Parts: sequence; structure tokens; C-alpha cells
Amino acid sequence: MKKEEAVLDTILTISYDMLRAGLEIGTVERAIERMCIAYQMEEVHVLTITSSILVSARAQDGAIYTQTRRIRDYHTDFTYLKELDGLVRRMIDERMDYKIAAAELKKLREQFVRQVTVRTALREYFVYCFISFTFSLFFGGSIWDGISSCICAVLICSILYLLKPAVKNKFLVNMAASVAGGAAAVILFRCGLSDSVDKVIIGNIMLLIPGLATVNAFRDLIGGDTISGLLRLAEALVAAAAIAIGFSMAFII
Amino acid sequence: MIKEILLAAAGAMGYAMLFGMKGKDISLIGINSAFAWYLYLQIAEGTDNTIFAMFFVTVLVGLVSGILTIFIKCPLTVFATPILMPFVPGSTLYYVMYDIVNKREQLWIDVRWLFQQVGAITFGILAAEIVLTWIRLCYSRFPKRW
Repeated sequence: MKKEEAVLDTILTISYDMLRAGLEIGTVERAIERMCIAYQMEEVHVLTITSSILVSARAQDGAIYTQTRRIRDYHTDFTYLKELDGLVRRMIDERMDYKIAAAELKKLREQFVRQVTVRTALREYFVYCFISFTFSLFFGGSIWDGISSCICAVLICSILYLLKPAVKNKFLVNMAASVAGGAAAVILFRCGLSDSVDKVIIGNIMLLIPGLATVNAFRDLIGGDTISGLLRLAEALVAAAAIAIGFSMAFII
Repeated sequence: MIKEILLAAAGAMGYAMLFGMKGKDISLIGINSAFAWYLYLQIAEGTDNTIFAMFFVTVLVGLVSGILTIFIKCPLTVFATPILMPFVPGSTLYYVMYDIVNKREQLWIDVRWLFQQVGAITFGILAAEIVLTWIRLCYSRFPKRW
């Protein structure tokens, strides 16, 4: 591999990880441009949307290099994002050798690779329960509504763990999780464990609903990233529809 | 009111944990989110306009997050996103979809409410970004961001 190709490969891998970790599209594009310029590339053209990054840059000898990355899923991890941000700052400010940058990136990837262990699974269960309990109370529920919400959150988390590796269709996964969560909420209410089904469900909705994605979609649309904004908005609306259908089906069942 | 503020802080901290954050960052987010919700309640009560309160608080959160990121050296979204989670209209979006699925008459009321809330947060973040860019341009001694 030529030096310029290797540099572009490292830059693109960093950007791919940053986008997956939760950074905005505009910031990712600016980072790619600044990194390419720091490594003495000229005429840098970047196109980033939610599912792809495309970069084309001209090296000093006049040769044009183009690389692309396809993004299929996201995993928000702000601690990893901070580390990547630190690496990018050092690459730009200190003109770090690209081989050292690539080695550091490899170490970070090994450190932050998402491994499903008992400990990480328990942590995720705890966080899901904490969020659903908190928001159930936040929207006016009682302590018993919060506890019921926790039980539903455990079920939703379990469904997500079971289905996500096997079922690539996010619509079906969200719907299944919503049906399970909604059914559990109704059953717990009928058993007398909760005071209000709505408050239990709302705590669980906050786990699944893409409220933030909707806000980011409008941000992209207003900021000029029309394609990304429309893609994000469509994904958010489809996800919200899956959740609404799932909870509605739970009431019928 | 104290209960609401504590729950808003706890919710934001929960999301911070979900987003992989650790240690003192989570406490910082909790404190900022509590203050943001307190301010939101005060402004909403004073102006009788929850949308304006949401916009104003979002601008403030964006500015505070921007200042934090200068010292802690990380992207703006790392702090702004979890702090703003209690304001994000997740339940409103659900009710819009629920209205569509169940053909309820109040669909357009919920859609209007959703657009107002999303608009307040979106324009709040944009306003904060504009102000932060001006600050960086005017004061070049601040560490440069991309």
C-alpha cells in the first residue's frame, strides 16, 4: 500500500469509528478535511451521510486517492469518542507519523471493542432499569409504576440481546421489544403491581424511541446536510412507528 | 419541584451511562442537567411559555457544554447530548405515531407540539453553535477546535 493510501485508510477508519460512536456529520467532515490537510493532501472532497463516508483527496504528486466506508450500525460510546478526538487533535497539531497514529488507533479499537460479557450485560441491564425507573417517575408515575417499568425494561433488554445478533431488521426488533414491554406493562397493571399503565410504558418508551435522532435530523436539515437529515428523519419515524405499533399490539393482546 | 430536578438529573446521568461515559463526567452531566431543568421550570413559570423556556435552556446548555469542552477537550456532543435528554420529546414522538396507528383525532395537535419542541431544541443548539463560533473567532487565544 502506498503511503497516501495508508494515511487515507487511517483517517477514514478514525472517522468511521467517530461517526459510529455518535459524532455529528458536519464535525466528522471537518475532522477528515483537517486531517488530510495535516498530512499534506490537497483538494479534499468529503461526503458523509448516515450510512457512508466518501473521501477523495489529491496527493502532492498529483495522484488522486478515493476511499469509502459503509456504516451499517451505530454504537454510541462517548468515552471512545473522547479518545478518538484526542488522537485526531494530536494528529493535526503534532503532525503525528501516520504509522504511529495507525498503531494508536489499533490499540484504542482493541480497548473499546464491544464485547458482550456478563459484566457488560449486567451493566446494561442496570442502566436500562435506572433510565426507565427514573423517567417513569419523572413523567408523574408512582414508585410502583417505576418498579413495574424496571421489570419491563429487563424484558426489553433481554429481547434486544436475543434478537439483535440474529435479526438485522431494526423495525422488527423494535416492534418485538415494544410488544414485550407493552404486554408486560399491561399484565403488571392487571396484577395490581402498578397504578398506571401509561406511566409504566412511558418509562420504557424513553429506552427505545429515537427522540434524539429526530432532533439531530432537523439539525442536519436546517444545517444544510439535507440528505443526512432526510435519512435520519426517515429512520427515526420508521423506528417510532415500529414502537407505536408494538405497544398498540400489546394492548390488543 | 426538587423531585423533578433530581429526576431530570438522574435521567441525564442514566443516559450518560448508556452512552458509555464514566466517572466525574457523569456527575458533571447530572449537575448541569439539574441546573438546566431548574432554569427551565423557572422560565416556563415566569413567561408561561414552555417552548421559549426550552429554547433558552438549550442555548445555555450548548454554551456551557462548549465551554466545558474547551477545558475537558472533547466534542460538544459528549456533554450536550446527555444533558438535553430530559428535554428531548421522546414521549411526544411516541404519541404522534400512536395517534397515526390508532387514527386518533388529536394527531395534529400532537404533531404541532412535536414540531414546536423539536424546533426549540434544534434552533437552541444552532444558536449556541453560532455564539461559540463567534467567541472562538474573536478570541484566538482559546484553543482552536476543528
